[in-house]
Amino acid sequence: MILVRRIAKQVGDAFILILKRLPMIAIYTLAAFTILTIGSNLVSRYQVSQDKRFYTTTPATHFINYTSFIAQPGREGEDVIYTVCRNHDANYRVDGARTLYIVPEGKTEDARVFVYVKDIKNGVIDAGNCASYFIRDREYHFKPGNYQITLNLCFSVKYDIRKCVNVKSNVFKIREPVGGSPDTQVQINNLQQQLQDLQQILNNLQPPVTQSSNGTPTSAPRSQSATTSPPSVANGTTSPSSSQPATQPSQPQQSQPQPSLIERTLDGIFAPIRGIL
Amino acid sequence: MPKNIPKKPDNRDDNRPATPVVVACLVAIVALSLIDALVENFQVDKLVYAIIAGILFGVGGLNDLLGRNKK
Repeated sequence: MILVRRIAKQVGDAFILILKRLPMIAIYTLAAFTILTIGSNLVSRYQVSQDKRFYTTTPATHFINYTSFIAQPGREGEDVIYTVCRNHDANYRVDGARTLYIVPEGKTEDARVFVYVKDIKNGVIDAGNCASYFIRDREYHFKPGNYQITLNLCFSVKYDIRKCVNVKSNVFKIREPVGGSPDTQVQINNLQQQLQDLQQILNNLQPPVTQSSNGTPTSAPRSQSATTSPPSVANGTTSPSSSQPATQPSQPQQSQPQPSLIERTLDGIFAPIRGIL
Repeated sequence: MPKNIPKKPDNRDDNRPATPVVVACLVAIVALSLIDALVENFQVDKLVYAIIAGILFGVGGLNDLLGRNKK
């Protein structure tokens, strides 16, 4: 009880003391507030200057680091797909653009060809993930050869300081278009034609006439292979030899062996040479 | 030079000890600083520090605490 009374007296004395010396307290408070404000402003300015210096001097790869940039090989007339993977520690606002250049192999960076520039408004997100993009044929028509893609990405970091990253892809190859035409339907037709030609060659490699068990000659391989669907042949599920009857090898003397298409072709090629020799 | 200079009247017109107030202010400043430093997303305003500092210096007990105002 005495302790409580003593504490209450102390608190009351302190409160009275503060009230009586309120003018001095107000003056000191004002002075302390002024000093603190000026000091904090100076500190924050120093920190901002240090921060700005850090963001200015640090290379752009510190903010966005491209871990891989792979362009897939393709054919002339097709869209070229490239995949980029990057790491970054913040989702930076990108108010700039992604500019793409093509560098044909054997040429320097100065001779690069501008492909497109695309505005990026959403920012660079999904750190650590990879994204695939493509170059349409109408944007840049690749001719057969080796190329390299150069990607230039500009973005803004803190204090709107601009940073630009310039990355290069692997060297990828553009081959001749299938059948010489970029049109897909024409390519399909050419592939089917090539498939039929190959089937014809395979058929010609087999003995064309076989003797059936009842003695009537048949031309089984040619008719059977004609009904074979192309995808099954292309997939390797159907073997040309499997369509042959098992009795054929046992009767080779009954059929007249004819020169195959390859032999005939080789004969046609070497005939003029033989004539010269 | 006159040897006996009359003492200025002390503006602290009572004998209430200011030491408890000074100690309380110091404890408050230390506690607020720790909270400010350790607790995230919590910042003590400058005005709070300024008021505590104003009490600390304005109450006049700092010199008593430091032993520089012995009579």
